[in-house]
Amino acid sequence: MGGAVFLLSLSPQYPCGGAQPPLPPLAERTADGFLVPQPGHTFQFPRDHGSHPGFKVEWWYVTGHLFEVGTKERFGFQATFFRRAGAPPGEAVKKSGAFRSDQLFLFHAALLEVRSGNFLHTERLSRAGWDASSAEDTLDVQLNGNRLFLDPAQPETFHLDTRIRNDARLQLTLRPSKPLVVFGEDGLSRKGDSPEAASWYLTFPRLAAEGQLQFGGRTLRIGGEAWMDHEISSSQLTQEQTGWDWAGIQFEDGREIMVYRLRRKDGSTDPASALFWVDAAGKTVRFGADAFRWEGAAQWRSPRSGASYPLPVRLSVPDPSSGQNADFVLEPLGADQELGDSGSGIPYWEGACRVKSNGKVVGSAYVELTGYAGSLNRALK
Amino acid sequence: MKEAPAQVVVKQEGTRASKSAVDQGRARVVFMLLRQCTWRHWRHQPRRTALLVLLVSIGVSVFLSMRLANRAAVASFTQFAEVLTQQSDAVLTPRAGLLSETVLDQLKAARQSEEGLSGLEEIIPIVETSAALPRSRTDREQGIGSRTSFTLLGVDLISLQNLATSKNLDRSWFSQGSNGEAAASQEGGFWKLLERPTAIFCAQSLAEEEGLQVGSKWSLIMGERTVEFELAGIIPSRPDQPTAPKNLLVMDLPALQVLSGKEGRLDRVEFLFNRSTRTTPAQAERTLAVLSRTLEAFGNVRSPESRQAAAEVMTRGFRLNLTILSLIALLVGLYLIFQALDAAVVKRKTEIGILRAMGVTAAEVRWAWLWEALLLGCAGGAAGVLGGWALAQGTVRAVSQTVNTLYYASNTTAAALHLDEAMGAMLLAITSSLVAGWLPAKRAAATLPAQLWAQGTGGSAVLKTPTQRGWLWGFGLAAAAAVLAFCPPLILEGGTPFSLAGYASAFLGILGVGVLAGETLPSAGWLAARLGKLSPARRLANSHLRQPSSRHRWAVAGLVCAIAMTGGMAILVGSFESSVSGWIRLALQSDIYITSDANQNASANSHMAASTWKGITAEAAVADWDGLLITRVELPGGPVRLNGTDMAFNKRHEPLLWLDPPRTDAVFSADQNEDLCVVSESFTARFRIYREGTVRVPTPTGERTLKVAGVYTDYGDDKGIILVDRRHMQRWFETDQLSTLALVLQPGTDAEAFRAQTRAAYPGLAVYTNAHLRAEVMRIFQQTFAITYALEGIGVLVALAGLGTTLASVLAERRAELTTLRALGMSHAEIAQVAAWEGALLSVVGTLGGLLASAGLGALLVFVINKQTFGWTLQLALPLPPLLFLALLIPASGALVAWTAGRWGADLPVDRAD
Amino acid sequence: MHLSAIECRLVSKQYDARPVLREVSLQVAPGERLALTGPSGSGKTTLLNCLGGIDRPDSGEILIGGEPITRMQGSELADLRRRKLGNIFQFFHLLPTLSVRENVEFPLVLLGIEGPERKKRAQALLERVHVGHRADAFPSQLSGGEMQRTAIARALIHGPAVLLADEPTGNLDSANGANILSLLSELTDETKTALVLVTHSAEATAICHRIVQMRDGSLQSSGR
Repeated sequence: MGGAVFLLSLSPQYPCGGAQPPLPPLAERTADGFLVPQPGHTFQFPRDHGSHPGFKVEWWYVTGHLFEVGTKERFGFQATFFRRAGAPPGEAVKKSGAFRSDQLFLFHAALLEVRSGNFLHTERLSRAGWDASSAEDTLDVQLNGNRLFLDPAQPETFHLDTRIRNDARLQLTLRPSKPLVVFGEDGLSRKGDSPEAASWYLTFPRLAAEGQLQFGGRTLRIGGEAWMDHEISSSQLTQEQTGWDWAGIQFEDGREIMVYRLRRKDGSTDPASALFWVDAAGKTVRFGADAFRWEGAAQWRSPRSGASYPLPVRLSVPDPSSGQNADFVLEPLGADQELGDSGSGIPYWEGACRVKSNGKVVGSAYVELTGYAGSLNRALK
Repeated sequence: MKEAPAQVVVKQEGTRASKSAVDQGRARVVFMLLRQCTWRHWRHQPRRTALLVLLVSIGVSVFLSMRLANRAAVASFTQFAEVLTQQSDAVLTPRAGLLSETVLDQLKAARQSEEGLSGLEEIIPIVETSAALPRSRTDREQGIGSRTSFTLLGVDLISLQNLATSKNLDRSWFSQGSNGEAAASQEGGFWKLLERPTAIFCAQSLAEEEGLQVGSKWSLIMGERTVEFELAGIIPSRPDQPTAPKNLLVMDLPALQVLSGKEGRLDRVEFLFNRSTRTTPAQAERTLAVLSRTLEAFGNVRSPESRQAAAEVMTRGFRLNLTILSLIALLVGLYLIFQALDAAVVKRKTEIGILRAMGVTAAEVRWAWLWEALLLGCAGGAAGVLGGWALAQGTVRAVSQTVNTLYYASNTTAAALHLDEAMGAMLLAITSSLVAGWLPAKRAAATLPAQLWAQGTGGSAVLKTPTQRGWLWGFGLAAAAAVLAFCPPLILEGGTPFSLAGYASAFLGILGVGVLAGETLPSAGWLAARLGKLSPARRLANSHLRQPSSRHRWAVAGLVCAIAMTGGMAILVGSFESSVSGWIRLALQSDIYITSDANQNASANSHMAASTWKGITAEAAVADWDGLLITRVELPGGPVRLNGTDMAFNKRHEPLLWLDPPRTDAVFSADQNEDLCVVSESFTARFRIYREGTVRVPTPTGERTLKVAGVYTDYGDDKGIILVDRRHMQRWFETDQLSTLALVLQPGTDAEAFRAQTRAAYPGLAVYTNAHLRAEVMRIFQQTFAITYALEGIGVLVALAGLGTTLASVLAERRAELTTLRALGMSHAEIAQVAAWEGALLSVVGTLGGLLASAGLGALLVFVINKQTFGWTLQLALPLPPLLFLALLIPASGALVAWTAGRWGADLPVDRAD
Repeated sequence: MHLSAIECRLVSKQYDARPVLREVSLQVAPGERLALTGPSGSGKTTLLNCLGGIDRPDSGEILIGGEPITRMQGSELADLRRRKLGNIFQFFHLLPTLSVRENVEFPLVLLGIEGPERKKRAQALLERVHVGHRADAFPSQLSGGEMQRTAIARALIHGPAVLLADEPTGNLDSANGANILSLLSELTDETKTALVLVTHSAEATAICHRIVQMRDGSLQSSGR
């Protein structure tokens, strides 16, 4: 999970540890006519890597940690394509031609040059049509020249081509080093007690990345590891939720953690929050809201939005392999990695971090903190 | 013999001063002359000084107001989109018809692959159409161009958000009128907006004027129907952003495509470069070149400056003419200044003589006079600038209306005062004053003092041109004018012809006749002396003309100039009216004319759908009909109208006024005329393609090579028309729409009833009966000349004023003579009569000369200037009423003015210096 | 210092083919007062104007203080007039927009004499000619006599070598006229200025050292 504020789709999860009140049955459609993801869905690929226009919101989210070949100069990157349906299926809106009104696309990209702390980011909005589209039979989503697509000739090889204004261009080839993970129970992720709040949450928790970065007048050969999410849903935050904290952690031992903490208006953690360990083979173990602790070790205040983000993050969770509690500190590789602050969006923090345990670096992560600059709820209407 | 008196210490100043000391002293002396003589003269005679300033300022005011009005009318050709996107760096326009949306795919691919397009930041497709307010409640047809027209701009409103983001512009107005709160619910509520197919945004000023709020419903005519729009938001006016013009309406692009029947099509695509490319001219040029090459097949890529320039070129002929005409007032003013300064020199020549006698050099005298002229010029110029700006507010509306009707949408109501125009006007004022003051000052300074005094105070010439030279000059100028009349026009940038030789010929011709008229004054006096019984007053008046002063000559020349201009223009206008009437009689033969009510200006191009025109033409009352499809295409030499008509209808009813008729009837038959066309006279003048020539016309379905079968006259357009068979043109442009219909009704059908019935059935259409349309066309032509009439009137008034001031100053100098006359027993009334006769004689000579010059000028305007500028052949017509009116009015007014001056002069006390 | 203040050699002039001066030769010594008499049209005013450089003879030579003015042009001539010549006219010819004081100061201004010095000299001379009390009046406010006295002061303020007077008492009553003549006589004696006086008046000739008669453009006689 990840992504911009307005395309949030959460559903409550049954925790591994701790009691959870039973959730109401799932609806087939939302009140305004969109499809609701159902459990037991048989995913077919490459079709399900593509677009699902019957559902309200969808995103493809890629983050990663890259190193220049040779110098080991470090970079962090994020590229996210969001799709949002303009009208429920069946409603009469313009669905063809160069200027469609049935789908809206938003694109975010960011690049952090760790050494200098230089953080570049861009955001672009487009309606479906000549400048933005997503295929329905395979992964091929593009907006204004930025593109994420599945190589038609090579199965399970993805390509990402993204520009950050005129300042940088990143071209990567991504090959999953682990199988696809579908988070949730029976292929469905529920993040709240609404009958509409469900999503299909597909993740490649580790991909080998290689390619080139044009930056600062130079062309660099780069390589590293990436993380790719694809989430499909039609729901929004419940009334009581104001935002979430999320992290995708890649450990040096080949395991990963995906964690989200939903925050309520009163500041407490929503019971639907969850944490997943992914082992080397790709099997997941889930921990409920009361099984892990997430808190900020300090605060970073944005000079632009004025929002205060709890960074670095201290995460405490049982380690299934050892049975012991593990404490991690997620330290930002650059303090200012705030996005969405350019006048029209809601600011949020999304950044590359190093992961430490007992003072030692044990992995890398991408952390996302939303809802710290005004309530998310207002934005999602 | 006297004894030596007590000594008074008086030093002998015998040594010669060094040359350098003399030079140094010059400035000092000049300044002293200005301070102690000039300034005090002004102070003692404030009215006279004020009059001089006024004369300069009138000429400058009129000229400046024309320039400001012209500029305002042209500036109104905004490209609208820049309000939303800021000034674009390049624009792609199709050569014919519309752009296909596939151009965007081409651009998308090119942007990824072409290195040369790395500087391209934004691609902004645009759809544009026009709409008009519905007519008022009365059913009567209103005048063409009488209602406000709007430009509807369709842009991708989603894409606009990105511009807001990257340029930090305030786009919160996008979220007005949608569900949810403002900034926070940006795209969510905004998205709802896109689902409303008639949602529009308008400028704050319009909303206030029409009393609109978000959510208001508002109807406009588009195409042939009334569309009810919903106001989704208001573009606020902010000081740091270009203000949205009042007649701009913004819609989501796909919605406007549907409303205007342009699905899958675009009017143009605008481009924004990134900052570094925009600010590096070489890079911008390169990007423009790559774009041009990439999109060659789709149309032309140009910078917005060149589009603005193209719009200026469209109206240049019209505007230049206005500017030239406005020079009339300046020219006549020039005469007056000359006379006035000459009079001042004469009046002060005793003083000049004294100064010279005391050792003031000729150069110092000259410098002092030039400075005086300069100061007058500055004062007059400053007053003229203010006056010009004020006057422009009145003229701008007239100019704008004409541009609107004849060229493109323009409804400016205010003219701003631009610094460069004001400076230009000041320069003109100063130059005119210097030119006018130069000769009198030079002559006065150069003449020996004794001769100055010997010339007496009788008001005789500072300039005493020997008569032979005068005749020589006069005939020489007239001959030069005649030669220039046969010269071809100057072709300006953009292909606009400028009849420089024609205007020069007019100027020299009028000057020549003016000089000759002055030379005939003695003969006029001689002739007048032999007509009837001579009263003492008449005898005296004649005698004054036996040796006319320079000021008499200049007064006559001024009258000649003003009358020539007035009469010449009257002849042009009369010829125009007569030609246009004749043309209309032939061209407008149908009973009913129908077009979209949204076509309120020359650039509006609303069409009727096939269902509409087919429905109308199928009515039983319609005996015959023609439908016109009008569009603009881009030829290498510039844009030109391409009209499709039923050529067979043209054969049946013969509405075309042929200059070079077709040699065969092939062009009238749809089976044979696919590669044939006829063109208008202006087309041939502009593109130099005549009958039997070939023209290559771009169309959306490919270029067509057409042979010109004939040339016809069309006074409605000065840029040229290509006429082809409508059936082929509809195929080439892949449309079945029409722009206008002309219906011939069954005999006995009541045209008015048919009109009313059609209007009721199609509220979005304008339906004109033949009579009404003819009246409209004439009204538009008259409106075009409205400014001309005003200018002529001013010219004549100024000339008459000049006559009055001349006589007044002449009288003032004849003070000694007045004493003698009174001593001899002449009454005040009789003395006034002397002046009246003198004035009447001057006026008669001026009028005759003026009428003669006006005939020449009229012919020049009709056959040379008009033909070269607009390409129209007119039939020369002499409008007797206005000419007769001039012939009677001027001498009568002149006599009246002179009589008034005479009464004033007769009442002057003799023994006091004035 | 030259022997003659004015020297005139074979000066001739025509107006419209009518001879006005016929080979006139004349000399005037410094400080000498010469009366030029003769009937109307005899050419005396023309001769005076030629002597003053405000008209140009067709032939012959005129030297003022030894400087040949007939060969001078433009600013050179003007410069000579500033330094060496003073003019008095029948119709006074005061500058109408200048006050009495300013009229008198004018020649000094032309010579570049500074303010205080100039004012001092003008005031002294104005007193001398008895118009000091009218120093701030304008010509339109003066009587004939006052105007002519002002004109005399103006003509002498710069200490010219030659004073040319054309009927200086022609427009004045006898009392004023006598006054003027007396002033002229005194002042020219004081300053050793040569005076050429065109006149019909016996009183005027009486103050002169020599009388020269002109008829039809030629000098007829010269004597006392």
